[in-house]
Amino acid sequence: MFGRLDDLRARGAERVQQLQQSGYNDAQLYDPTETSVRGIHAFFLILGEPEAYGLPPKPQVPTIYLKSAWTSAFATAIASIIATLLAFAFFS
Amino acid sequence: MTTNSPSEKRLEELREQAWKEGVVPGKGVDVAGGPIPRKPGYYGQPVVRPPVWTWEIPIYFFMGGIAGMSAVIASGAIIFHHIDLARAAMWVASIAGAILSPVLLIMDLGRPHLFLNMLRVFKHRSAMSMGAWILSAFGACAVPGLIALELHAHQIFPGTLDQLLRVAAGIFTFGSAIFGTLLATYTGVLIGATAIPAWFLHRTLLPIHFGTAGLGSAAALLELLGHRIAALNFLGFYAAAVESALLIWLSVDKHGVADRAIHEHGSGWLIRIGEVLNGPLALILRFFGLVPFAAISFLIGALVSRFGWIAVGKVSGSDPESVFAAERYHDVSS
Repeated sequence: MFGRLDDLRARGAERVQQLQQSGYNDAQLYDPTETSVRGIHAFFLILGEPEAYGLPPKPQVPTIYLKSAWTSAFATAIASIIATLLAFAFFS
Repeated sequence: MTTNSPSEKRLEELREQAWKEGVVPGKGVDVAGGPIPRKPGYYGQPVVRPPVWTWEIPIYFFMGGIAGMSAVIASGAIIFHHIDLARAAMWVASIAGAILSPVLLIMDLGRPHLFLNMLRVFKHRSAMSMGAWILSAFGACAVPGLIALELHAHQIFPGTLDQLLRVAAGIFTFGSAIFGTLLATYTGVLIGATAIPAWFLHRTLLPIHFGTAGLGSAAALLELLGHRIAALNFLGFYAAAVESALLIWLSVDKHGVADRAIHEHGSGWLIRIGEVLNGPLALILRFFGLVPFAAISFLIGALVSRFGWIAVGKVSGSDPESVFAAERYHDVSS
């Protein structure tokens, strides 16, 4: 156990400030809680951009894309049924 | 050593700064041809896992599309009394959807009972789980539908039993048509709702492409099987016209680095060649009445572009720069 999450976040933020004061201006906490993943069960104090560590800056949960993809799928399904019915109604 | 070369100068500056302040916040020297090549991300390592699918999956997408949309054509044929066409379409739906598709999925999974494991959960947030259920429901409708239709067509049973078979054939065929439209389109959702940039950036296009390619392929295959009727010709025109529009959409809707696998990498050519074959070329051939050639062109195009989309996914998922760039395009509403 490292401690309570809130305490750890506060300690992390404190350490970032401390580092920035000593000249490490690019120190930051990598803790993506604002995007759809809402935190990754781990956070890191890094120097520089997250990309340099292979960390996506704004990771997203792919399930957020389901709605638009299924909407498109249902629209295609309905369009195909209509096209087939029209084809047989007018061309046979 | 020349002391006035820019990199030597910069090194001197860094040394002085380090000596005075104890810390160097600025960038170091980029040596051209140095031992550590500068790659985006962490030494060019993939950020997300690229797909590991082999040839079974694109062929399954192709077969599932044909099978699902054949059932739709069969339903239309039943409503408008083209019983021979309905029988042929249900044969195609049953063979492609209830035999070849599960076999391809099982080949991908490795062992048959892993497919049954897929049916242990019903997870509406997972397109793969929904797909396993859609395929199972489709097979459970298409095969009884075909049997009932054949028994009715051959007048095996007399009187009321035959009437009952007719009703059963209709119900099962319509059921397989409903699940069939989903079978042909869910594959677009399956790869669209992922973390692969080239896929999720085109999540609206993919189900339209897969579904319409399935409809056109089903019509083309039935035409090649000898059912040269005007209704199937119309469906061929419709599918080729939609695919032509999608080709234009794909060429216009670029996202720079994020989906460069489609527009700059060789595997993107598979998609474009496929789209030309089942879009403009099929349309032109059909326009000049060369129906069999249009049908063959459409079928090849539909198959090639499925392989193209899987290949592009592998390239795009292995490209960290694309993954980073794609995070700028996570507009959920569109």
